[in-house]
Amino acid sequence: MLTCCAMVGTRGDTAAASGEDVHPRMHLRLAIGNTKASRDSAGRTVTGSRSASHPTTQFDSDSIDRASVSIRIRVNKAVDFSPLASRYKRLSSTRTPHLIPSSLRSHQTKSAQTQRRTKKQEKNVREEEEKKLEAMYGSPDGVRYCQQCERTTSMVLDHDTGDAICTECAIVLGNGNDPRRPAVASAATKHGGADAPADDDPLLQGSDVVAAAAAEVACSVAPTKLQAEGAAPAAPPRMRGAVVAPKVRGGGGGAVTKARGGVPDTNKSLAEGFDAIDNMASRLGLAGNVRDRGKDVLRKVEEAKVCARGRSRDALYAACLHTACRMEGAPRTLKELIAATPDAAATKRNLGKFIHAIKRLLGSNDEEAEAGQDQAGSKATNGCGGGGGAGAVVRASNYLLRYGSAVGMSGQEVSAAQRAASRLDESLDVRRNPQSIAAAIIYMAVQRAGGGGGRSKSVREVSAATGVSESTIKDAYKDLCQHAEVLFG
Amino acid sequence: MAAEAAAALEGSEPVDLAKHPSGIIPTLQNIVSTVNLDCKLDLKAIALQARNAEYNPKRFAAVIMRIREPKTTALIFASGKMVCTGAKSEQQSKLAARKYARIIQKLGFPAKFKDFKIQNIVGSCDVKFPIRLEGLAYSHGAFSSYEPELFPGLIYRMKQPKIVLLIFVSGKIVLTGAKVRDETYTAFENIYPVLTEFRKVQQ
Repeated sequence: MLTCCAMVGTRGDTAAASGEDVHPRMHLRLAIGNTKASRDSAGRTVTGSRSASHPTTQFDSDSIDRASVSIRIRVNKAVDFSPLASRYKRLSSTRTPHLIPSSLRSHQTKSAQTQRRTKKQEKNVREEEEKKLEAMYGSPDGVRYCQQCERTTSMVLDHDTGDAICTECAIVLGNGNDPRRPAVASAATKHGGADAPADDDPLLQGSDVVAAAAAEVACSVAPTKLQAEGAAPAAPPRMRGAVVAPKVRGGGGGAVTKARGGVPDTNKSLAEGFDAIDNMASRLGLAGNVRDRGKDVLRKVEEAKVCARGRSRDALYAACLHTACRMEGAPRTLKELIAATPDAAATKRNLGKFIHAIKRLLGSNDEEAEAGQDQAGSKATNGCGGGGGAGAVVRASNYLLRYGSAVGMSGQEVSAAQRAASRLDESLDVRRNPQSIAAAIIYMAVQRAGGGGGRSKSVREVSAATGVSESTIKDAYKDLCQHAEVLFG
Repeated sequence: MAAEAAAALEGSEPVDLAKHPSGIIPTLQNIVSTVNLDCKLDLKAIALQARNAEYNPKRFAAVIMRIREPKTTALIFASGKMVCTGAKSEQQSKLAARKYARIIQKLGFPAKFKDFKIQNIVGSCDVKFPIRLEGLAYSHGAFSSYEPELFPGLIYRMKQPKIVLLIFVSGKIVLTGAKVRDETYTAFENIYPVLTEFRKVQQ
């Protein structure tokens, strides 16, 4: 996020300085590409062979480079980018080898001498006129087709990088190695002809300022991106911030501010919620589809702003997971969900309020409700008399599979317990928590199986496996014991 | 009315079927009323002088006073507002409120009796058969809230009249939120056909 904020701040300054919203951005994109291409060519040029005339060429290049750097320092101060001057110098120094391509060495020498004389004369004239910015580029160097203007326009050649800049819209043309050689050749030809079209000074000045500012931003952006890429493995949040940046950049001036204010906050809270749900799901041992549905529920809740009050976020995440477990036909008890939250911060009351709000939110969405009902109905193993809605209300049979496996019951015993639970739901009037009923039925089934097969489990073991206290299991067992024949007979 | 309810429960007195088609009359359990005594009160003085009065300013900012007949509890605030709870009928609630006002007058405050109003009526009854709360919650989902892990009863929010009913598996019903007695009766007559529809058949 820090990187994103810094970039946004820098671009804001650029936009304020230039007063044009579109050109700096496009220039920025093309300039970034140019920077990478320049570095590639520089790397390759360094390995080239040297000749007898190399020292002389090096001297000439250094002179040109120093002149450009000195001019740019003034431009930097004028545009108020002084903190970035050192970076710009470093980037400029890396381009020195680029000015000596082996195949164009002789041409470079001649054009360099010609440019030096021309620049001296122009400097004298402009110093008298106090137009220092124009000295940076000199007079237009050619006429080419501009993609932005969609017509042929006057071009100014940036001798330091070899790029042609349109005087109408300040866009930079001429990427990569191959286009650069024809550009240089055409420049030499033009200088030989010495016949340049006239140009308006205000337009040229404006273009120069915009190009210089955009170039400065371009040079400062690349190292930042490198830092961001370097930090990506260590800090996922920064990677997330980096992902947000292009969207902000693409928008307009006003939209950028609004997008920065709204979108990152929602994304941030959703990301935190997703992480929390993943942690809770892994603690509870839930399947992937359950946690995916939990995230989907959280997204709906965030969009609807149902639980926007400053309540416990952990309780909200637990409630979303509770709803997801219900929908997938594998409900979890509130006690288990509360235990899965960090430090068990959520309370039953908070959880209940969130569950109620989520149920009302999802209930209003008929399509989602139908989907939930269908999935829950398809997974229910017992029939419900009178259309009881297996997914809507939790019942004891939902817990029997999990409790049975926790206690170590066989398949036959679990199915017997499930039959008992369905009979209980149909005919008996038991006024107890479904969790307690499930634990009592498990205990009864274990007792009956133990009598026949020689195995038996104590109340303590059933209590440890189910999470229901021993006294509750005993009391519920007493209630159900008189109906044992109805349940298991 | 308590005697009438007891008689109805015993079955010795016929129920007005025109008004109660179900044959069951909810029993009023609690009535909450408010009254404005219309004068500033010195709660410390009241607590010191009156019997059956307790006052803990750190815990609650009102004097809690009780009388035996009708058996009620009053919350008396410094602003002169009073809340009377625990009565079993509207007349008893008003009588109790007048008694509290009289006590305040005897303590030397120029108490009046303005704006007496019944704020809430709680009723209860028993349909005497078990109810399938799951089926009821499913078919009346828009009005029902049933989470057996949170609360053992089904919470039914009736729209007209605006009454909240708590329906339990055992068949006991609690009705709350009424401001007039007839609202309680109407709400029960509305829900009774639904309860019979979701009656749980014992084998």
